[in-house]
Amino acid sequence: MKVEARNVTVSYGAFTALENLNLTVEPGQFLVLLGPSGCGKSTLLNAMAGLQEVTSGQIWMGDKNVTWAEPKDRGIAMVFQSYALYPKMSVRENLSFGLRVAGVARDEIERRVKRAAETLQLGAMLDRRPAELSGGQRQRVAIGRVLVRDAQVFLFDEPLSNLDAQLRVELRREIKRLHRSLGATSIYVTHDQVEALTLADRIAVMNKGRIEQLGSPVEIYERPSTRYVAAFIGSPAMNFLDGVIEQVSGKPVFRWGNHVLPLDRYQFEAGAVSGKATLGVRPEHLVFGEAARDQDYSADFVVDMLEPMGSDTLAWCKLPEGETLGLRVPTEMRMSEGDAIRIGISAHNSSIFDTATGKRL
Amino acid sequence: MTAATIADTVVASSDAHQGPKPLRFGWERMGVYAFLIVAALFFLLPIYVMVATSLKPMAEIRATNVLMPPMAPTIEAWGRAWNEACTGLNCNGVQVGFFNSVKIVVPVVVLSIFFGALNGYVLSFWRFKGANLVFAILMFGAFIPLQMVLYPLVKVWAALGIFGTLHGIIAIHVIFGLPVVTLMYRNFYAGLPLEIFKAARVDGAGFWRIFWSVFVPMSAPITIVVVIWQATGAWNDYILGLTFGGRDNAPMTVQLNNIIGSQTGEREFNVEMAATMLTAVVPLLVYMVSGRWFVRGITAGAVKG
Repeated sequence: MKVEARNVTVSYGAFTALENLNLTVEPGQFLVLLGPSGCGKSTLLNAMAGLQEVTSGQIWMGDKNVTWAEPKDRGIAMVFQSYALYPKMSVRENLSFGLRVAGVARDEIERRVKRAAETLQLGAMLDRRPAELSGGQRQRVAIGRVLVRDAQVFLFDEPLSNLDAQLRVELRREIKRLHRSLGATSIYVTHDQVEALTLADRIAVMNKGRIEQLGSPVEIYERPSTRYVAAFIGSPAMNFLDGVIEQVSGKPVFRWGNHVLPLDRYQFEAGAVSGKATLGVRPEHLVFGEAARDQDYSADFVVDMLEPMGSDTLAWCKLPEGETLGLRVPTEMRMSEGDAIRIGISAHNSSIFDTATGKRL
Repeated sequence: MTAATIADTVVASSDAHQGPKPLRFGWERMGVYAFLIVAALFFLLPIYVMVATSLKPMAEIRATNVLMPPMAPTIEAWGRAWNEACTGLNCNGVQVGFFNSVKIVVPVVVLSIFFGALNGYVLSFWRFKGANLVFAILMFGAFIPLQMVLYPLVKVWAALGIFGTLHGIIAIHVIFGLPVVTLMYRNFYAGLPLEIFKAARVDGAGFWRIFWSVFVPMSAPITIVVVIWQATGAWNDYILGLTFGGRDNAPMTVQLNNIIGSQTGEREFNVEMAATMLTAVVPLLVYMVSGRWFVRGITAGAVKG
């Protein structure tokens, strides 16, 4: 089922959580709302669920305007960060509560609970209370509660944030597999970019109640439309250098200090306008060693600090003038602090933003 | 402070030290215990005197010191207090008042739980316009001195025709208890994750279904507190029972006062002490049986279990 937010504004007194927001989620799509806390992503999800009244605008599900509809009349099911299981009900009762409220026949309830329990390997736990389950099992039950409802739209509100790293990866894969087999439209709120990139068909990066960029994970990663998105996505974070765009013999270049990066191979979105600009380049896109000399720009850096991360090591390298770039080097290179290193930047996988507006150039 | 001076302050200790540090019984601790023992005696002594006196025959009371233990303990005075103690011309014992109090306290506790939980549930989850104002007024109600509204209430109750009836006294207890009971439930519910409420709404449950199926089963810790609070409060009440109970519904406290105050002839201290103990036994039992849960319930909001 298609889900749409049309000109949705949500404000609490003077504070505006969502501002005139438009978003369409196509049927079967897995959309992730990504942003830091307070960006309005949970408010948007709650508005779609009918748990948050909108100040103005409409919410549509399929071809129906559900702006004033109760949550139960929207064909949705929802998973919450704190699991939100009913503590005094057994797992079986938790799974079947919605169906019992809806007056579904008893053998039908039995059948659906059994099916959900099998899918999520909860069979042995059906008669336990939530307090007797581990965090991962509790969130499985919460997901199971979504499965039994046969909803057409699944809403996830940071479902993995309370779990430890290993379980998070495991359940993330499980959610992805479920989406693939059920094909229900899914909207997933998170502040974790890795979750967003691994799960999403489309990501909406949100900032201060607006959608900053809507696109596929690859688009968001490779061609961030604003500096904000560029800085938010990617770990370790993108490097930024402040400088200017100039025309040198009719060709655009990016200059900072006395360093120059020719921009012939850069795909301008808005055209090469001279003026203050910020160059963004990801640590994994920097080229080092002999290959650096073939890039659009290269210079000799000194390794200032090393942060080993297992397979890779993040090397912070400095120019004599003081600019620092972080780059990923294989740990087996056995680099040490103080080493000289040649670093090259290629224009085609860099991003250039207008320093004043933050927009991609 | 530099690193060198911090290192200097590390005191070398004996190599023999290992395992848990032995407990020491110092002067501070002695002082604390001494104070606690004195405080305990202060409260226990009157109780001892009451129990001892109630177990003595009148002749022994007249002959001996109040602190002397009974020589031949007898529960005869207790039987007389229960069955024969006189209020004016009625000599049916404190059992009349006891059953009057039971008839008042049980409905008061049940109704307080129901309305308090419902109020707390609405104020925590079904926020409406002006909810904060309603809450503020309720809190104001919790601190209104009873004497201020006693006379107007008598007039209103009389106009409604429930003055002096059992229903009237029950209603007045419930209403006066409601602000504090509502506050207790509201604070308890405010400590529960809002997401449980949201999940129940997505599951399609309505106002009453969420209340009965989800939140009432979770309310045991605070309900125990409310039971203790309201049961002891209503049992120990005097002024409401005196004013609104009328002749037929006078609670045990009022009857006890009448017994002790209206006696003619020789004062039967043993019967009076026994009647007082009988009156006090209900709140005493409630505290002793549920004191632990009381503390647990009060702190339940702070530490999520």
